[in-house]
Amino acid sequence: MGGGFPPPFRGGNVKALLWTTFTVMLVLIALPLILLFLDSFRGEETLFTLKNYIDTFSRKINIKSAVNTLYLAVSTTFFATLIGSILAWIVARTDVPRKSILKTLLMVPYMIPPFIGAMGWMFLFGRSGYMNKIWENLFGHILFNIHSFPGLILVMTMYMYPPVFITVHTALVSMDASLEEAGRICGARLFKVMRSISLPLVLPSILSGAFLVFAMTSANFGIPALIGMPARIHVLTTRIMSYIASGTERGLSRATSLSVILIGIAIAGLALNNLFVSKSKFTTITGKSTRPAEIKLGRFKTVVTVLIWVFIAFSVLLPLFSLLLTSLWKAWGLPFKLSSFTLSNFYKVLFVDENTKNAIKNSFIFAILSATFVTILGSIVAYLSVRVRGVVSKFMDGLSTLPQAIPGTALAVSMILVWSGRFGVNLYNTMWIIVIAYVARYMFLSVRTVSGAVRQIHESLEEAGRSVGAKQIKVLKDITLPILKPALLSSWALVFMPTFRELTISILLYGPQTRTIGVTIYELQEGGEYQMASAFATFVLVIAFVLQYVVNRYLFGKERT
Amino acid sequence: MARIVLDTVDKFFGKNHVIKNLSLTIEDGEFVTLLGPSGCGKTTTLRMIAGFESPTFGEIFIDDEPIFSKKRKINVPPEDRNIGMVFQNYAVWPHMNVFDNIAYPLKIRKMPKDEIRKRVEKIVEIVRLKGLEKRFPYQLSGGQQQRVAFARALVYSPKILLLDEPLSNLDAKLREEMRFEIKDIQRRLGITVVYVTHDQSEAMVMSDRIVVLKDGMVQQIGTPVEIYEFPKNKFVADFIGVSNFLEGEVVKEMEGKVKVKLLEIEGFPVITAYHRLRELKRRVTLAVRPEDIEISHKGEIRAKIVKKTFLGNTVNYIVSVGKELRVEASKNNVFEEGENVRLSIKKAVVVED
Repeated sequence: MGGGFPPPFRGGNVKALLWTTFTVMLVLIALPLILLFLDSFRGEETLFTLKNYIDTFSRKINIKSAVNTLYLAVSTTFFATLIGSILAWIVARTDVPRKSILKTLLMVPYMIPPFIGAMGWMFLFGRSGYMNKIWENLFGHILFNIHSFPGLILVMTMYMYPPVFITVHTALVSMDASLEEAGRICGARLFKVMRSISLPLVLPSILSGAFLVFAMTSANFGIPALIGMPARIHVLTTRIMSYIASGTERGLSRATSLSVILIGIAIAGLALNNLFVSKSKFTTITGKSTRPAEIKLGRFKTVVTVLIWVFIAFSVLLPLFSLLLTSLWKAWGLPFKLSSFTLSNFYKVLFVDENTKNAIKNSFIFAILSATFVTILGSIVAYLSVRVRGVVSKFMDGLSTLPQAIPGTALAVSMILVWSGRFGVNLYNTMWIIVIAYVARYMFLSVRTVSGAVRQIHESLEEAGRSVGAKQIKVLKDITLPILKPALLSSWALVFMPTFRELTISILLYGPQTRTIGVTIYELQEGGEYQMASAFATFVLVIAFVLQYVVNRYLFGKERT
Repeated sequence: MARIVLDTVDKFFGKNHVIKNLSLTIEDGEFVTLLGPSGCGKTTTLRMIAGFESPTFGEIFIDDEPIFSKKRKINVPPEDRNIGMVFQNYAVWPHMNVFDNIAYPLKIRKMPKDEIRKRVEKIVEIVRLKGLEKRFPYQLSGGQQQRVAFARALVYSPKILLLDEPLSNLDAKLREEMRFEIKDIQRRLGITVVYVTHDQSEAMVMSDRIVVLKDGMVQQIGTPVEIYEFPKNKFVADFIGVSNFLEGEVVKEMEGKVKVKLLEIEGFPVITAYHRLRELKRRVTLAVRPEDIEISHKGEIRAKIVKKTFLGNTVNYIVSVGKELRVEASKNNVFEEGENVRLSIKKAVVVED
């Protein structure tokens, strides 16, 4: 084997493990994406033709949906970046009171599944939403119809500003204070320093947040499905869903072409990020760090404080409140009296309704299975990619992170292409196609977490085990695994959290027996069963918040060194 | 004219009293070093002069103009104090090239473009950065970045230059070079410099006067020679150079000198010591530099060589006289471990505890 494997890794079984894992990764991730790409160019007789694309875009609605995707992504990116950056600056650099609470509250939308957030907004600004009803009673017309393009941009922005907020906030807080002080001491006023020094320095963070928002928005399904579709506003993800739902051969072919376009748009965002945002240029020698100066808002302090709390109340708390209110209502439209409210919606969702009970069971099984598979496979990939030098392991590492950039909708379509009997295995309508898609989609979480941890374990720890006489397997079991345990737990939790309330992938892959929580909430909402839908959604949010809390507290709270 | 006066300055961080009743006058054109271990308040003092920290009590003047006064409610912001400052990590702006970094203070002052170019050219010459004007900081070495920081701090001809451990990020050889260069620039421009460091040899080489700080209190202010030859207390004697401490009893007072009976040494020998303290108790502590002890076979104090360390240009000994002392001697006359010798103390100074 030459110098390829470090001492603990000589012998055939490691080589076998490497190639087995490599093959699994190829089938799991590379094959579906390659097939998606090839199929989009495959004709009945030829391997390469543009006929599919021409056919797809001969329909005006498909062109429109691609344009809408771009338009929505660009506008959301603009507003989310603007709002996120301003909020970050206020919280990071001014003397606005109660910063840590503000920071937590402003990050709440990040923990809410976008389709559930969209429901909250619908209950406020749908045609008969609470706010519109109140407004109509006062002024005789509704305030704002959420089912419109501006509504779509509004809701999308409210769930997409947090990545910008947090990256810019981190950049502002961790920026070397002396860079600004140097500006002050040579004569520049604070605002001049902000403009000519601080802003250019955080610009890479702002841009990288913006490109991330662009990719996330173009890949998002839940918000356009709930907000846009009722107004016949289509984007690529919802069009692909409709085509898959049609169940026809032609539909699948068009969904394939649209998926490739969608991937192109999402990856363009990330590629631009890598192209423009090079942070290496901005690293400087750091010395003792003093905290950056806080800007005294002075007479604007009250105004800014009020505005930021109004923003939080309006964009973070109000949609959650409307969701909760709906979940407690006996029926939509009843008068606001105590007797109109009940807990029976929750009771029905959790204990009576077969549909929702089944969905809970399904989602938990899928999430537990995917989290477990991802953690096992991801740890092996991570371990091999850190410890075994060579092209194969490096390629495997790259492959595992690829689906991070692929919109879930497109990934789901690629799974259909592979797992519907084409290669002798038909998993369509079974739970396994969903689990496989989840595993492919979220593999990167595990690989990233575990490989970071493996890198922390010095090889000498394992070599010490070998030197005192333990066999390779025993060393792994007694030394490596226990040290990796926190990372493995984190990886498991990190995958469980998004999968148990997943919508984008499962809506394309579910069968009659494999409805997930996400799918069921979506269907209840579409079917006008608002009380059930919101009770179910509230239940999901409670679990999501509790999990998030537990993970922050027990897994990330105390890092081992 | 740029004279800095700190008048009874106190600084609290929360309950933490970091500067205690500091009064200090730095004369025009003087190079004054604030020297002390980490946490002694030297950087805080510098940052109060710069305007990045506000004293809790007291006043600061530049040329008799108050730039800070608690009772008169004056606090001139840093940008209006017309001070130059070089930061420990240089704080060269990574998004601007060398020229733009140096030109920034001039642009702030709305100077015409030609004038800016002329001034930058001149300062670039002085700090020896010619030809690197278009480079970005990440393309510069640490030493070059530091020159940019110097040029940026000097280009607008401030009357005061504050230096916050500017050499601590450089390698040893460059540090040595820069000491002389900084001193040279200061002399040429006649600028008042306040220099912060924890490195005593840096302070020795460059300063006109040194302010030794500990726990926010001034321990001693004086020229490098004064500080080294006549340390006021045990801390200064120990922090600057190496000292042996000997307990003694005053047997006779003279003009600036005392005769002291050494209580820890066999036979209680009496030696003459310098004293510059305001009050003198009967029991005193003497500080004796290792090089001020002579080893021979005919001194007044009996001793035994415990350990010998050869350092090249000198030889260090640990000798026992009842207690152990450090002695630094020339390499020409070597004594062996275990050998019985005699010591004579050439110079001792009475220090406070």
